Amino acid sequence: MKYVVGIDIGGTFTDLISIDQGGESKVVKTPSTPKDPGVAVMDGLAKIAKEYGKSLEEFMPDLERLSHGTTVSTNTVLTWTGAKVGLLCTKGFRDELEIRFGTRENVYDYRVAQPPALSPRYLRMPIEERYKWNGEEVAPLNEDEVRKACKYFKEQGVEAVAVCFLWSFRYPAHENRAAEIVREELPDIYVTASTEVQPEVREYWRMSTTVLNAYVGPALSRYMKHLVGEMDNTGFEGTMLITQSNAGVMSPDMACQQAVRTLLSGPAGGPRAGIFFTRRLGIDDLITIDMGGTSFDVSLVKAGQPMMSLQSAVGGVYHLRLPQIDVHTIGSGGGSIAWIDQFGALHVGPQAAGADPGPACYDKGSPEPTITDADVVLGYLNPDYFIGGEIKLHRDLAEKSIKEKIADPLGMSMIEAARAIKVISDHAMVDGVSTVSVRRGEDPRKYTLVVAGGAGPVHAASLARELHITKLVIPKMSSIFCAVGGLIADLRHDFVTSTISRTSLLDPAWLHAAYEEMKEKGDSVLESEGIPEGLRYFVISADMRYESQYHEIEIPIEEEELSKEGIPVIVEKFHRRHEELYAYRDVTDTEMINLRVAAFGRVTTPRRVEMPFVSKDASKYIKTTRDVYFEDDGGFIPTPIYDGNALEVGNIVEGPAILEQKTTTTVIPTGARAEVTSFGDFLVELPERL
Amino acid sequence: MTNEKKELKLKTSPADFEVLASSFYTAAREMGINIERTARAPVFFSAHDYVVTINKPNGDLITLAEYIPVLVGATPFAIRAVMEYYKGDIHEGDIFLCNDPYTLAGGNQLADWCVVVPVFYQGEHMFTIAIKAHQADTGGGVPGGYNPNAMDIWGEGLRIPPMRIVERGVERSDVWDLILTNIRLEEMQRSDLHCMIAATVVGSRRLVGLVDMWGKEVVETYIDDVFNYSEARMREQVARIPDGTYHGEVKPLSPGRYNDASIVRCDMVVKGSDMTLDFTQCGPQVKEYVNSTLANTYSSAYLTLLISLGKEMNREYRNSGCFRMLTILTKEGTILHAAKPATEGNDTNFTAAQVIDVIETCLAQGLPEETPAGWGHIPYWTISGMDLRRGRGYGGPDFNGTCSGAGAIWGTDGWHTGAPQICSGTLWYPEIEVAESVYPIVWERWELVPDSGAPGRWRGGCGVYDQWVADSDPEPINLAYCADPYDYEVKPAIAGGKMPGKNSKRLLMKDGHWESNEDTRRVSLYQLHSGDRVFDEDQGGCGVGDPLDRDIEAVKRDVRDELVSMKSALNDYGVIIDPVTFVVDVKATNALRKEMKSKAKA
Repeated sequence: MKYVVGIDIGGTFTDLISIDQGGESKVVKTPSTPKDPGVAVMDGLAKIAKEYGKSLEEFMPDLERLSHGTTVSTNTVLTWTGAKVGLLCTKGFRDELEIRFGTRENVYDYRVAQPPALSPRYLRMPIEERYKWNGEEVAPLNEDEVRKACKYFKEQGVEAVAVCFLWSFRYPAHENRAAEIVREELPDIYVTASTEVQPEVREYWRMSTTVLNAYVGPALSRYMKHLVGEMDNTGFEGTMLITQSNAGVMSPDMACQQAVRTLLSGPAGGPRAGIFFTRRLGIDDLITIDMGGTSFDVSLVKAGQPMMSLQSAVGGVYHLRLPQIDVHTIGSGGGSIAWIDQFGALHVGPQAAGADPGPACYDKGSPEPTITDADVVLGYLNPDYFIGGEIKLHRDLAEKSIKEKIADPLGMSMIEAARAIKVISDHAMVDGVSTVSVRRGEDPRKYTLVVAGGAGPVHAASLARELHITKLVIPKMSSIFCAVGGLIADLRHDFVTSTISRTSLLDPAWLHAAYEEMKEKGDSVLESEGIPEGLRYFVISADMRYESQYHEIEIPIEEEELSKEGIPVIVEKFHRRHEELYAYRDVTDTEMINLRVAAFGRVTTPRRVEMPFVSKDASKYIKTTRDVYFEDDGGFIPTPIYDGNALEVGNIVEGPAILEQKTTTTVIPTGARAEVTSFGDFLVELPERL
Repeated sequence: MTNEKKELKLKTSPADFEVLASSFYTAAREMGINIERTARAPVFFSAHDYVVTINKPNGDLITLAEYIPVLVGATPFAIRAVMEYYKGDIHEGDIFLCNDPYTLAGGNQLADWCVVVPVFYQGEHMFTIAIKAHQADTGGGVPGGYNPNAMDIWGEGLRIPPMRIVERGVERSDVWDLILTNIRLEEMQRSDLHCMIAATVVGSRRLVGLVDMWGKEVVETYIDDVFNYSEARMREQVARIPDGTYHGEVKPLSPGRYNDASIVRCDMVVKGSDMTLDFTQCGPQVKEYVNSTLANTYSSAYLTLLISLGKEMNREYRNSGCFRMLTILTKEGTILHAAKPATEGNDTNFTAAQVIDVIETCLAQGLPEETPAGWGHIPYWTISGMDLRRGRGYGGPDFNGTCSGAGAIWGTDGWHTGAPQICSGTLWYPEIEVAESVYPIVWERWELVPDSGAPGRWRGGCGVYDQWVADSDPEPINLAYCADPYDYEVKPAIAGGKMPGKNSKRLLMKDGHWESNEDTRRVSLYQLHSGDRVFDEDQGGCGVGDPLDRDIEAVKRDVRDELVSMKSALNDYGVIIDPVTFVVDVKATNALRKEMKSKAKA
């Protein structure tokens, strides 16, 4: 028997899922080991092996493929433990990294300090060299200065070097030569040039992205090397793949060179997992939500394609420009704390109680009421069956904290206060969903909500109600959602060519050639990763705007549109998309700014086993009844509680109902109806609202 | 202050209050994003020079998504002017436009055009959306609206009194044509007007949905509540300032050719939780184009109070209630209350910065630990001409030369660059590759100026060198000197912090001939040809606290980073550092600092 395994390393748990050739799956959760995340990976693999009754050494040779989402690089940035980075930049322009194009995240509060640059000024070495916009060499590369800088870097104990010169995205000769010299002079050091990472116009973003790559590259490389070594020792002969921010995967070698592409590796698995759990149900427009202890991630999939964005800021301040999954995160999770300001307004979050001390009901000494406490008070969570009873929740403490901290000061009842906490936190999440849907020109009513994370299914139905969404899918394996995402992702590599061209003056032959060149690059990378030609495919697009706009919209392009007749078709697509997004279209000329190619290598995705129909009747799985609060019913009503672990294919549960599973609780409001699909997932339908 | 706190009792339920606050803000923010993503004029997308507000019909501000903070209080003036002008004649589907500061005091600056849209709910005028944005051009004597030579306001641009440009959903094309015919970049401006109107469509939809969902009564109660809430929060801050009268002023300086200067001064009177800003003692309006309109004076004052007293006010609660504690006094005909036909094109830069400086000077006396120190000023150029590479014209400020340093605040160093303070970090400096694509110019230097951040326990941020060479032949580049005089004295420096040195602006012509600071101020208009160079050295920000108390490690780091010279470390900060190893002689440093302090006392 052969297996594929997906791994997702979270802050608290490392999740693993193993699927065999027959489509049967096994799931394992093991505590994360932040100091060396690889320990948890090996530990999890041993646990998986054990599930099959094998030792690690017996299991590993049968492991065909391992997909690995990693938070190593993200944590490196967030904990300030990255490499000491030296930067070579064009002379006269030493500080662009620090000037950050002038932006301040908080306009009114000057007490927020300027974020320290990831390459400090004394390690930013200006090098004499310069190209003009048209490729004219204003100053040749001063190779002596590059060598001197290398010597200085060595003295200073620099661990990684980034190179980013002006106009290098179009005229890379100086930059490439400088990088070559650094590699000669400092053979043991991590070296990265902006043209190798993201050769795109706008030097600040290119430089910031390249410096991030240098900052996290050594740490990720060490981790990869160590892990690959350990895997080899256990007899692993399969393929290891690393999840990227763009939801594709890549080889460990590529991951080391392009470490920056793993900065959103974790949550990027979400939309792919959403696709995996819904495509056999004929659903391909979906919104995935993932609500854990401290945060809520949301992303959108349209016609089977995850929505992408091009830029973000790691830790809120370090700018990154690369194709990436458009995951929107807000600080709303089970542990978010409710509080009243001194003028009597109630707020929830962004402060969270974390796992320790956790919500008040954990009885670990925190008096602060959280969303989880409100969920206990409102009857959604069973105090005796949280994580299958592993954590005992104390209802009395939840009530006490909500009463004393919220209800009494505001002069309301404890239940009213719990409801207020829920309404406010639900609204914040609804706003989060709107950000990736309404604000991107998409109508959420046309989408299915795919729900993950321990706290997701508790809140999903009320979010759906606010958003007028009528269909929800709650995968049985919702708590290890992102681990699945990596497993079914294709290899992916992104390429870009910057041009600023008015489309009316565009030469179709040139355009065609520019794309062909990028595709050839893609071919050679996929070749190096051992992907046969028949399994390669390409998706092409262009960033477009009306002439003299500043922001672009990425427009998908079909191969045959790269012709004289095709260009107007592309332009019309742009007009339509602009109108969808911004409520108007214009008559002025359009421009193409960046041409993009995503080169894919197809992997075989595991099948899901379809199980036979058992029965519609779920009544025998009712464990008990308790009073649960439902907004539409105006208060608490007696509600049947089902054993969610035991429900069988075909079972239908009418709301109001609660389905209790080991790792999550699903709330089904009055009027809604849940059905167990042939894959064992819950499909919930809500009545339409006017 | 405890009394006021007890008096505040919100009528809206806690859940509704928080959700409605967020929903209103979201509606404004959505409109803002719509504009940000689609605008054309560089000043629009680079300086984010616009504001989106949702108001009661009368102009009381409910919420805003401000992009440039100096416009934070400008739209109520436009709304009140429109409502007064069209009283009893406002209908569903109407859209109004205005910019004129002298018709019913509706405008702050001619180049800032305001679109005003009444939002109706079941036939009743329930909200007014206003979007004000700086346009690429506004007619008048020179492109772009900054005309240092204008004799009067007609020389500065087209005056648009409140004007109905869409009547019950139908565009009045004759009115549009009359306006846009007077504009140089007619088509770009038409697109940008459409972009603003499209945003109001998005916002109107959202607001109607909001009332549908919550009901009129709940929404109206909420609006009363949120005004009271914001008022209480701001009053609590004002009450922390000891009662008294505080004075601030900046010495009169002329920015331009008429050499006509007038003093800007402020008396701040605090009594309990009430504050009065008295500007009536300012000097008379001047010939220079820096007379502040009433709307600009108010808006600049609002900005200053938000970055000091209101810095913890969440964005959802920035509304009219914040300023109920405030009375502003002005005298018509003075530099802070311009009367027709005074010129005003540069009031949102030059004069707004002075309003900020004088109010901060007052606040620093009452609350030194809460008040930002002065930011470096921005004497910048505007450039225009014909770009043969693209076969079209260009024009706009050289934003890369507006990168002065930020002032420090108690506990935090000033940021390097980030200026002007009227933007406070919403001005996106064009990247060199972008600037070189838009202008026929090659940049030679754009990086921080060592020692430009003024010393302090918390150091002012550094400004930049901005140096470039014209590459436009055979077309010339027109260069106009704008905004502040290069020798502007930045204030306040707080609690023993220092003031920065001067700005420097020079030109070097291809023939080897130099234009000095004084020349550039006197002449102010140049034509450059390929090979001619421009040198700017932008000022840093003011420091806070005695530099001799600065953390030694921080001084060492600045020296290592070559942002503070060895000389300044020694003379300003009293820190003795080995020039090779950067090791600090702590003992000698402590002794030196002690000696310097006692000398300063004597």
